[in-house]
Amino acid sequence: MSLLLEIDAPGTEPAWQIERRFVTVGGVRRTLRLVRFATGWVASADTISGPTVGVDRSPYLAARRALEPLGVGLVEAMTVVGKIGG
Amino acid sequence: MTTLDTPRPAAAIATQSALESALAQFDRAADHLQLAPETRAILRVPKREWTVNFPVRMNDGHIEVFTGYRVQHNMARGPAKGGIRFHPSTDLDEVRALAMWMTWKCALVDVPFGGAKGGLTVDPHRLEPDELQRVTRRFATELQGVIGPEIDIPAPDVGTNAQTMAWIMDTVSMHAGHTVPGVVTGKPVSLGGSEGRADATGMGVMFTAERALREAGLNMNGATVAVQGFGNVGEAAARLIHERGGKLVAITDVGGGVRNPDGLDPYTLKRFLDEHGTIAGAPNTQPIDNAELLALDVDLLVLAALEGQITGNNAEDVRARVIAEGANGPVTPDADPILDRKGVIVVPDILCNAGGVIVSYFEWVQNLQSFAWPAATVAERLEQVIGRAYDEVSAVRQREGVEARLAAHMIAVGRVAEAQQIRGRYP
Repeated sequence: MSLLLEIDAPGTEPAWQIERRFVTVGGVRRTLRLVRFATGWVASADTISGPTVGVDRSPYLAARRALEPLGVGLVEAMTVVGKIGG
Repeated sequence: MTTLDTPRPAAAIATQSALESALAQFDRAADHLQLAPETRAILRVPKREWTVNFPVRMNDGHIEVFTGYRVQHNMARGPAKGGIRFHPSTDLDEVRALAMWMTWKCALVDVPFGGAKGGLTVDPHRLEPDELQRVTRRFATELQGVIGPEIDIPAPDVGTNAQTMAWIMDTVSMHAGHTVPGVVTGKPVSLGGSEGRADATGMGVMFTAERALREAGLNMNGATVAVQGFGNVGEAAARLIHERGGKLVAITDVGGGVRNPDGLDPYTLKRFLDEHGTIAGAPNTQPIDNAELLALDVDLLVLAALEGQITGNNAEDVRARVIAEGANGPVTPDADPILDRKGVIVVPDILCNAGGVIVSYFEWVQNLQSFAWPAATVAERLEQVIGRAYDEVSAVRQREGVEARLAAHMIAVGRVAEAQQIRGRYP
C-alpha cells in the first residue's frame, strides 16, 4: 500500500467550510463547530469530558449526533444550526 | 362512516397526483436537510406493499371479486400505523402516498409509529350491511400476518368507521384464538376504544388553530371563523372552536353552505344536518357557496373537506389570517408561496389533522396496558403532544425562514432518517 501525503498549499481552493454556533445547555454556553467537506459534515461540541463528534451528509443530523451527549434533540439541533449554506 | 363532505370545485382540482405530491414534498425536505443519497433512496419508496384479490358471495348469490391494498411505508420508528379506506377510486398509488404521509405525520408528532395505509376498491354505500361485514372480514383475513399490535395497526378512514374496526378486531381475534384489541384503533369504546377518539382530529385542529391565531396576535375568543366541511372533522372542529369563544360566520357542506355574520350555532346546524342531510337552508342563515367561503375576510379558515381547495388560481382571493388544514392536502403546492407572501399562517395538514393518530396512539397504549383513561386525560395529553409539535414547527419555520409545511416535513423526515441510520442495515 502506498500513501501519498499532499500538503494543502496556499492558494488552493479549500473544499471545506466552517460554521460556528453556540448552544446553552443547563446554563452553560457550549460551542458547536460544523465543518463541511465535499461529501458531508463533521460536527463537534465542547463538553466537560472533551469534544463530541457527529458525521453525516446532513449538517442537521451531524449536529444532532454531536449534541446528543448534551441531551439536545433533533429539533433543537436543527434550530441551533439554522439556515446554512448548502 | 368517516366522510369528507364537500365536492371539489372544477376550477380547483389539483393537477398533481397524491403520490407525485407526496414525493415532491419529501424531495424538498430531503434537499433542505441535505440527506444522504442512500437514506433518500430508502425513504422514497414503501418498505412493503400487498395487493390482495378475494371473492365474496353477495346477497343475490353472485360472486364478486374485490381488490385491496396495504402499504407499509416505513417502520424505522415503530410499528406501522394508518387507516383503511373503502372507496371506489382507491388504487395502489394513492395508498402509497397516504402511507408515506402517515410516516411523516407520526414522526412529526413524535409518536413511536411508522406509516402505513390500506384501501379497498369498493363503494361501501352500495353494499348491504351483512355484505359489508363479509367483505371487511375477508379483507382482514387476507391481511392476516400483515397487521397486528406490534406490526401494523389500522384505523378508520374514508368509508370505514368504528364498526369496521370492530369487525377487523373480531376477525383477527378469531384467528388468534384470543381477543386482540390492540390490532386496530378507532374501535367502539365498549371494545377498548379510547374516550375522545371521535372528536380527536377536530380537537387537534382546534388546538393548533388556537396556537396559530396567538402567533398572529389574535385570540380564539372572539375570532371570526369559516369552516369548509361539516363531517366528522369539520363538525367537531366547529363545535370545539365555538366552545372556546370563536364566532362561526360561515360553514359549507356537501349540499351547500350557510352564513350569518352574527354567528352560527353548531349544535343547531348538527341537528338540522341529521334531519335533512345537509346544513343548507338551516333557519336564521343566508346561503353561501365554497368560492365565497374561501374568500371571506375572517381570522380563521378551517379546511375540513377535500384536497385541492386552495390552488394557484384562487390563493390570491384568500383574506383569512390563519388557515387550518383539517383535511389532507386542501392547499396545493402552487398556492403555498402565494399564501406565504400574503402573510397567511398555514397550519399544514400533517400537523393540523394529527389529533386522530395521536389519540389512536393513546388507544393503542391503553389497550396494551389494559387501562382506560378518562376523556379529560385524553384531551389534556392530546393538547400537550400536538402543542409541542406546533411549537417545534414554528421554531424551525422561523429559524430556517421557510413556510410551515416545509418546516414540518424537515422535522418529520429528519426524525425518520435519524432512526433509519442509527438502526443500520441488515445484514
